[in-house]
Amino acid sequence: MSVLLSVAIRNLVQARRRTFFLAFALAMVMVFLIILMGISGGLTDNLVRSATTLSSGHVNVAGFFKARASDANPIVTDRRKIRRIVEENTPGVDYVIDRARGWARIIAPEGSLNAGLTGVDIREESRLLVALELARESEYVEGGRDAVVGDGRGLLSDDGALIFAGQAKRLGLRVGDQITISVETLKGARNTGDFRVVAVARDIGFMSNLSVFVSKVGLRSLYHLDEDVTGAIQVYLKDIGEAPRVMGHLRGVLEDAGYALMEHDPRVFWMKFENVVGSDWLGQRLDLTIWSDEISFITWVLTAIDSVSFTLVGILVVIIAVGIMNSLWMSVRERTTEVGTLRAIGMSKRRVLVMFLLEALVLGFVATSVGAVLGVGLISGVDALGFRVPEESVRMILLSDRLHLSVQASQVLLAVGAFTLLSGLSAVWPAYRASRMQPITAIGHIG
Amino acid sequence: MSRMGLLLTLAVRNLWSHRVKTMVVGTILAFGTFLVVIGTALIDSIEDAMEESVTQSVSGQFQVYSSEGRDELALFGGGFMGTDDIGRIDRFERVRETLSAVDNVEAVVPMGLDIASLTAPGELEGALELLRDAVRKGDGQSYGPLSAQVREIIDQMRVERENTERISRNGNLSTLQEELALLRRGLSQELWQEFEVDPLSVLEFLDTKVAALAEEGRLLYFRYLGTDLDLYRKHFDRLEIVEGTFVPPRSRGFLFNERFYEQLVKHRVAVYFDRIDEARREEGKTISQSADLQARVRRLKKQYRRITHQLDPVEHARLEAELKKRHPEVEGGLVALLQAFLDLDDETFEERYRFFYDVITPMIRLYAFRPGDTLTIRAYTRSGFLKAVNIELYGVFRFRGLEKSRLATAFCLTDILTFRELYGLMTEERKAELYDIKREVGLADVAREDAEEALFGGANGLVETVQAAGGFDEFARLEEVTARELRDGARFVQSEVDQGLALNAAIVLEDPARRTETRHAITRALRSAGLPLKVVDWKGAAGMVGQLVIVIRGVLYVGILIIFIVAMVIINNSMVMAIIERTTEIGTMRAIGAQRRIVLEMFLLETLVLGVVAGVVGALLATGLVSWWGASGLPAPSRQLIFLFGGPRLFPDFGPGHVVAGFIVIGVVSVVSTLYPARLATRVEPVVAMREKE
Repeated sequence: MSVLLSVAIRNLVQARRRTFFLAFALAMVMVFLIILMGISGGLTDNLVRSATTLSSGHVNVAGFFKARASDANPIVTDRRKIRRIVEENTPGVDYVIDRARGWARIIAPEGSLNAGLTGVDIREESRLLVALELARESEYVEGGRDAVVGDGRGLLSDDGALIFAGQAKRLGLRVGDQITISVETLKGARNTGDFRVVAVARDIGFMSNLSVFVSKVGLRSLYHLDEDVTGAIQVYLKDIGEAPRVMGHLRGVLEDAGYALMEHDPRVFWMKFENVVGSDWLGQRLDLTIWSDEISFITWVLTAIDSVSFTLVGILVVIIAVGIMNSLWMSVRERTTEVGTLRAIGMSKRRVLVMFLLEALVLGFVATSVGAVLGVGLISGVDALGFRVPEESVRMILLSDRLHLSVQASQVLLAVGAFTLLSGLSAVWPAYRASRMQPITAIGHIG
Repeated sequence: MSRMGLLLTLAVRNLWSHRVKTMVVGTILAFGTFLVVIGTALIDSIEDAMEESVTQSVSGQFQVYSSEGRDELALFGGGFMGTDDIGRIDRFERVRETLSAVDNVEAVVPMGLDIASLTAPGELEGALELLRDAVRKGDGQSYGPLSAQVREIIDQMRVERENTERISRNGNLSTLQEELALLRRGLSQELWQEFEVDPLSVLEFLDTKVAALAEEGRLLYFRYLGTDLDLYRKHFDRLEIVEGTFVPPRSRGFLFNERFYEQLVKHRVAVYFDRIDEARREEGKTISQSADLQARVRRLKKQYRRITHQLDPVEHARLEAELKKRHPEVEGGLVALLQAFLDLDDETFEERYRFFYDVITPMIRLYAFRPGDTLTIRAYTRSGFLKAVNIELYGVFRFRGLEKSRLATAFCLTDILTFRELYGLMTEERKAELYDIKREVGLADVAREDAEEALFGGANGLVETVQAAGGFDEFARLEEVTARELRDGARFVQSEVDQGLALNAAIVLEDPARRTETRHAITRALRSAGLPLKVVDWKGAAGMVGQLVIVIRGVLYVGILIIFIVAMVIINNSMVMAIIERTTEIGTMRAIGAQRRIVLEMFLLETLVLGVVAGVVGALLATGLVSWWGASGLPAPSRQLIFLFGGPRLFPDFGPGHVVAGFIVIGVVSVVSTLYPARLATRVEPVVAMREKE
């Protein structure tokens, strides 16, 4: 085997120019592939971060309460008891919080905008304070101080509100300013309250434009809700990959505890109003979702990027495979005499086949490895530089203000393996032809 | 010439003798051409479809808006939910004067865009309306069933209140208990005995005390465009009325777009039926195969209440009998029968669809609003207060040829005075001015009562101005003036439209082909008039939607570029190998006197010939496919992309430009990828031909 390997390497080195061009093409495609995977991976990271910071746990126990048939209040009554059940029965749980939800108009002297309200109990949200980077005042006020003003812990006070830099800029707000929050129920009933901006956080993609944090007490008073009512109990796991399984498990647990559950509907909660409104049940139903359900309305971007990548890489792979096949075909023709000699001195057909396959495999492996190293280096470099994305529409698609690229080692290894295998596959036909040659005609072959 | 002929013969011969290489390179080139032609044709078709949708429905060839706002114009919404700050045009008349003078400008249409909401009427309201009609007509026979319906709804309200008690904090309980007391009175025997004697006083009680407790119906959000309707209709001439009428000249009024009307104003069960029907007919889906449709059917089954709630006892009995005939095996009453009926499958769908529309829809309110109804439209003013306006719904519109376009169906329409009112940006000075104008024209006295009666059914013109915290009392002062003005009726004079505020304006050109020069002329005219306005084309006006096309085009070009770079490397490689094989032949040619140039030309010509043949094959395949799609329609890959396609299917088209682009690209690629191998070939010395073959 090692003899065959060294023959293969020798042949590659001998046909330097050909090897170089093929390897160059392969490496380049590998770099492209890794860049594309990096974009997709970076977007997934952004998605997970946006979702799990702003609006969702890894698993959510939310629900709807219907006082009348045409109602759909996105609330969970009986909060304490359900939360205790969840805390005690979730395998691999990291921590559990619960947040109230609302939809509001944020009114400031300079303008107003709509946003989702999240009511938090900041005493149990230490991780939120870490995940939200506060913005320096100069980032949202022209001529503002170059220092962070305000503190997320200001949400301890009932009238505290945490907004995002984009919103602050738009509404001309700085920490300490008063805002009026006007909530509107699905039925068009309204209520308003005065709040105070206690902190301004950096934007997390466009989703943060639609998000404002207030104290849970403040939100409950806007909606006249009881203390034992919340919006969603958010469960964070040690391993986010376990989310679907944990959701299944919790469904069973809650059902056993006598709670009525809604059928799993993988959509964000505000897309379910229409169905809930028309449904025939009354009272409380719980609705369990995982993080990806709550951002299902933007995962199409991910699908789009992935399908573009897939198509592009697919086309490139076909072109490369044709190139390898052509090149090996030439190699076989050039070396017909050599093959004939080898066969004549007793080399088996199988070993001839393996010899040519090895040549392609070695080429594929070396080239893709080099490409992988280059690609990973490139995306790590770009990621570390943290370019600002200039275009608003691209920012919206990437869900971030900065270009974030990330790729997992396992993906890279898989790609190297797949490409190497593919190189081998495209060599099968020329190698097979070589192995089928009759020694006598092969030796006699000229050119 | 003969040299050319010779070279050509040589090229063809060489291509033939190296068939494998020719096949490999040729396939890659043909595929490249195919990709370029198809890619550019598709993206151009997408852009054309979008351009048509946007320019013909709202933007015109250009949009102008203030350069002083913080945001860029985004006709379909910006990155924030809420109103973008695109500045404003305070005196539209100046813009019109300036721009109408520019050559090739056909019209300047004032516009204002915003989001507003509308509440579909509640059930109790509807039921009381029917009962009041019956009392007015003295139709004693219907009292029984109708009052039973009213009682049932009130009983539901009682149950709701009792449910709400469970989730409400203590502070609210006293109000709840008061409300419960009223509801219990509404259900009491005494009250309904009194009804027999004095129906009007009981109705009065129900109307004022009990109906006030009923929560309103469904909240519908929509984007609307306030404009000079008469001018708009004249210059956006694809607009057609599907139902009702257009708003009469110089009148206030509202128009729904057809999609909003069919998908949000329509009865939910009907919308479910329509959606399944559409998926089956147009997308070729079946319930048994499509998980999406199965989920819809499951949800539809739970929506039976939307039907039962709208039936009076007579209809209830009739529908129950009808359904019993269809589903004799079902045990139980109407609810069970309806559930069985709504459990759709592929075999029975069409028949049940017909039954639904023939038998059930006449009994229910198919649309929450009909032309002729008065709408109460609510919107947030610039400063964030909720403002409401009552306005008559005249009709439902669509754009000819753009019925399926998501972009052309993004707006409802109203007059610009209503927009100004909802937007809350009329200054007092401006209003006083308008008043003077009106008095001069003498319109204020015209049929004041009549107009009021016709529009608002005697109610006040202005419904409410919700005010939150203090400190914004400019609105308190405005309210009185506004109310007075609205009561002056639904009619106005043209100068009111012209002399006031607009957020942006559409410029419609006489000859769109001359748009580039006209754009320059417009910019010049604005500058010399000292108007701080920006001019943008449809793409610039469409915000994110417009930019998306640019992004897609960018992705396509980068993709094609990458593919060609790799293809060039591979072609280059194949050629190099071919030349190494042909070293002896080249040496011989050189030895018998061929110049290096001849060798170079021979190789270049060889790839060019191959490029042309491959290009023709690729272009033929691509144009064939595009034509086929153009006839049968290319379905949108996902529902989110329908807006890009101008409908569920794109009908792409290609022009000579796409084929030419394909050939140019392929020509460049063939030549570039041959340069290095051909140079290698020219370096072959004649002496190699003398050597023994390896």
